[in-house]
Amino acid sequence: MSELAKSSSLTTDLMEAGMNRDAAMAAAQAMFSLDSWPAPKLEPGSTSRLMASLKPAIRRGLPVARRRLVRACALGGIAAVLILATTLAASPKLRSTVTGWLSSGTTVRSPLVLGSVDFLNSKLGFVVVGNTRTHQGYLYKTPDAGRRWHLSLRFRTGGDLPNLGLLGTSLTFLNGQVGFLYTAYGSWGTDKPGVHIHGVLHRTVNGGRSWSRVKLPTEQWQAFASVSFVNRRQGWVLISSGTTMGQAVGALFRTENGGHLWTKIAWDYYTPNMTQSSRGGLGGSFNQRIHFISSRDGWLFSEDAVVGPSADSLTADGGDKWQGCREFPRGFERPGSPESRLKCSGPVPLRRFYTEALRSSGSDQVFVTQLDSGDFFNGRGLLPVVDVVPRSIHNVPVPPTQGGYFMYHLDRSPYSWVRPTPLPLGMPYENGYSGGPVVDVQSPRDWFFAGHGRIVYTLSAGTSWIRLPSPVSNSFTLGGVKFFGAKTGFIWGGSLNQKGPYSPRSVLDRTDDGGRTWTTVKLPVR
Amino acid sequence: MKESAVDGDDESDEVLMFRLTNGDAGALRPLVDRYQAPLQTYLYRMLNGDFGAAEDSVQETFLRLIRQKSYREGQPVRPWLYRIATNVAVDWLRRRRLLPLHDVGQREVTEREPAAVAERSDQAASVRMMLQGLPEESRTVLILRFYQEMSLQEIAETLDIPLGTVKSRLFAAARRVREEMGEEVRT
Repeated sequence: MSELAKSSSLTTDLMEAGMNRDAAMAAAQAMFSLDSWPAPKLEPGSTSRLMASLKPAIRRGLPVARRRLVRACALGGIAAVLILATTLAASPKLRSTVTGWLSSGTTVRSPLVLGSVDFLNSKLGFVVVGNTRTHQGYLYKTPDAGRRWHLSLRFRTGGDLPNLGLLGTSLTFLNGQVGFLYTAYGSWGTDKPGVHIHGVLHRTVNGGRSWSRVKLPTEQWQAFASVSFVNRRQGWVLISSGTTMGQAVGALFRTENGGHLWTKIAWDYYTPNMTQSSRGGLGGSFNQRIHFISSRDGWLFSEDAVVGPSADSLTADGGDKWQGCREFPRGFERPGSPESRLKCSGPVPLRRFYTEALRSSGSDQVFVTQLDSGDFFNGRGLLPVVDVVPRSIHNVPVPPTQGGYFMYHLDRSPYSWVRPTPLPLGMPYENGYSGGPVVDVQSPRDWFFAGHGRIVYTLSAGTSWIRLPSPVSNSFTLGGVKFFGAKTGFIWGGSLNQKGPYSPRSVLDRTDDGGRTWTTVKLPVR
Repeated sequence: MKESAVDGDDESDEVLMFRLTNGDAGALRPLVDRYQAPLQTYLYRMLNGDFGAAEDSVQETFLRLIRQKSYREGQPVRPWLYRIATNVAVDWLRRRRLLPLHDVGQREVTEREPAAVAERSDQAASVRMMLQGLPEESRTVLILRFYQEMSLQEIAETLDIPLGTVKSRLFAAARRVREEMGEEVRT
């Protein structure tokens, strides 16, 4: 800083502190006499000497990491023992049938769990299945709406973290040929203490007939990665901590050549109060994600399990610069949240929303099935949003006029949010495993919405809604809904009363008559 | 893994601290490279010009960084690190008060030094004496603001005090500087 600028800055500070202008200027000028006391510079080699003096402390280990590891082991062990003891005491018959754990800690009879589901049309679809006993994950492809399943890819999951299940698995198809599958497994660190997540990114360019691995900028981190590609070559990966220490820090990488070379974008972010989301749909996730709809336009979302969305950012230059926003839509302040109405500073008034319910569509559809029920965008940037009042998060009753589900959609030109009429559901939002809303947007005006055991759709961007018969009850944990036209559709998720080879929360239903009748699709078993 | 992407040179302080607190000792060197010199000059002035004590305190600051348990992931590193350094300096000064006082920081002016150099040394001694005469709290704020060029908000975060308190301490320190040095500067 130049002397002039520094003097001006000091004067301003002193005036802010209550000094009048003349006195502040005189004092600032006098303070420059402090420059006559220079500090000696570092001697050559002093950094090496300092590092050498720190080595013993480093060799003894970095205590924080060690403490975390010990604490994690202790807490995990105690929790496991308590849950197991409680379960066995309550239901001795389960003793011989306890074979695995869902991430919720629920004991299940079957080790099979259903992960991401994606249909490219009414026939062609993919499901991700995990076996919590063998720690194997499978991607199956169906050419006929689930009548037959062909194994497309086998991958490792769980690892040293059996509770991991399919957590973090993310399936993304850009079109019928090009798709990406991000998978992850956990392990205890060897050279570095702590629990590590190993992320693997698979790519197909022939509709799932064969897959190859895409090199990631780093494949071992204490987090799940969020991956977004706009074509087979150009993509981004967000590495984030996602720890339970209260905050998260991330780094964003970009590739222009399908992962052969990753460039770290000169940008880091951290989000306060980031914790593991309890709204994981089929698994639960650390809700930090990126999504790009073009080589320039992208979003970053993060969500706090306690206070809801904590940061949304937008870029228009491929990730070099980001613009953050922290504002709830008016009338949706979260009770007890200290940061309920922080303003955006930039020209684009993005608002907060729940990311598990994002969808969009279009002829050039780009869609990403993310960590829980998925994000969908189209190339035109339509961004429908369901906003809900988190009644149960703080256990504070919300006035009926503020309750229920609402959809917002964002038109990127001129970036205005539109809120249609409230959905005719009349249901309070409930956090946890009882099921959040899921949305499927076929076009800018045609949206499907499912929640609390009901399915409704609109052909008028929310002006009016039509209710469809639903195969699921309000205890059904929704994983997603997908319709092709008004007749053929799929809904998936789980029910605690479900019977069959899969663990609870793993069922896929199909309708060909607009929801009048639903058939449970037989999922692949391995 | 692409090493160049995570070797630390282009990573933020917060990412480096995240790596360090997760057991990656390689993240320490970039932090030392970034902060050793600024901390050295900060502690040199906080410790009344005792270069040796400043060196020891820099080492102690980084040792506390390695052993710390107060850092929260994503927390801005700079004010947090200066808070550690300030605590180290305060500890040293408190211990120092228990010992016989001797002018450890004052450099002797030899007869062979040119007059200008001697004058600068005199000015430096005046500044040092003036700073030494300030209350510890005001001196810390003044050093952070003037020498380390921190914003008032950063100082508030560093010292974990309200912004208003930073302002009032800076006000008091600046008035004292003006009283002590102002006439000298204007002449």
